[in-house]
Amino acid sequence: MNNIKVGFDDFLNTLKRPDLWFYLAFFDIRLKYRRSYIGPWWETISTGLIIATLGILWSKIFQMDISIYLPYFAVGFVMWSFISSQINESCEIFYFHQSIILNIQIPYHAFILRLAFKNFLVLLHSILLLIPIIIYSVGLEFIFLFSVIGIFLLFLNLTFLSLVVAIFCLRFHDTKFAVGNIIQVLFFATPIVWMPGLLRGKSWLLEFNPFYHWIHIIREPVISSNIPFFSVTISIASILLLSTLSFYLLGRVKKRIPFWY
Amino acid sequence: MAYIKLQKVSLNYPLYLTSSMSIRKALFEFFLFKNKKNNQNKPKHIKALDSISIDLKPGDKLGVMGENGAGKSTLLRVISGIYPPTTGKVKVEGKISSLLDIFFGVNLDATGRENILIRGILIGLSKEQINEIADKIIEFVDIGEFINFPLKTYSTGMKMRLAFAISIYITSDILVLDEWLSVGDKKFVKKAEKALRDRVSGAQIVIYASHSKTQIDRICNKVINLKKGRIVKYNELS
Repeated sequence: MNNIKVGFDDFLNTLKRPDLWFYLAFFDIRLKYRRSYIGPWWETISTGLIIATLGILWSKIFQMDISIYLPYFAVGFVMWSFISSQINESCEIFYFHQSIILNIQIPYHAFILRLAFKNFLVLLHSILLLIPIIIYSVGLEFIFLFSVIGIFLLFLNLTFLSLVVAIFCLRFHDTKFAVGNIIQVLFFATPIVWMPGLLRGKSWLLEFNPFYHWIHIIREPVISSNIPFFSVTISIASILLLSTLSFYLLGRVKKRIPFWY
Repeated sequence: MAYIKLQKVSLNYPLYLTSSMSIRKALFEFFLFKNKKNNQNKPKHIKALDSISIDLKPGDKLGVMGENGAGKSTLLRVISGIYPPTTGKVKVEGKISSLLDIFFGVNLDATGRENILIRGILIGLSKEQINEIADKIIEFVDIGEFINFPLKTYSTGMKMRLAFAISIYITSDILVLDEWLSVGDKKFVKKAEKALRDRVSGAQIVIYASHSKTQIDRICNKVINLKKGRIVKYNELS
């Protein structure tokens, strides 16, 4: 219990200092794209290119109507880009901020939230790409607001998960290769490119994949205008589980982290 | 009232060997050799600090001397609250501004002005507070229009001036400096020493680690000598 409290206090202390993650995340974006005129739109353009080419190609391969397949693939792919960049970058995050960690006392969640917000800002750019696709293919209904809540749930899930990943990657240097690998496998194992209907009854492959639920609660409201309550429940449960796990883990190792460099 | 009190502080520094930082190996040993006694994943420890007791009151300027590896930086990190001591008690009251690694938090793509902002935020200042001190810092650094250029265009000396200025212009009760005044060129060292003496108010506590005895004599009123993590000599200067 004590460990969980230490981790939770670290989280609270981070929330009390929004400059550390909100302001610095904007700063990170600004610096990253300083020397290009279109800035973070580069990422949007490349995502758009992938969605357009692969969306058209795979709709032919799966023999599906493009107006059904394209929005499905586009939403899933954009959310997956957010997930994969957040988890992959969290592998290096504590190395990257080594000089800060060894110099001043600062809550560890600050680095994670800063990264999550940076990736969220990139996501916002890509979401602008999704809006015309959705309007032209399925139409934007009011229920899309539920997807906004879905993105918030995904954000929390990712934040807590990436703290766990970051701690393991710092303690065990070779974890990041495994993480990269797992993320790659999960991209194909999660219904982003393909639709769940193709599984033909083997739905346990989906039900045990939290990433499916996290994407599903965002994709389903805009694509099919209904709210997947089961997936929402799973997503909230995973937030509770991951936050407890990450608080416990951080509380356990917090004093040892400076020695791990 | 600011004070620092270290009571018999010892620190066993865990050394993680490369082999103990592999998750593949850790999992392998966890599942297959669970009961094996000579587990290589347990880090080896070296005694970095050995029952150190220090008592500093407002106005004290402590010089820390010792050879490389004597435990100077470790001691400063313990005082700054980065390393938790293995045994003993550390009591620190007051706002600490520590400068252990001169380039901490520095972003090479950001301009000098932006770096002042970044470090200010990391240390916990509000943007208004940072704006208040920014002009003084820029005046001290004295690098003209370079302040609006990215840091990667700076010479080492310019970077050092900037980093030093940010640290000493942030008002704090305790200032912790790890020997890097000695790295600068003569002109800068002179200027920095003067700034240090001007800025350091009577009530502030300063801890300064260095190789240079003359420098410590000029700045400090108390000196400790460290050897293998122990205080081997303690002097009070007038």
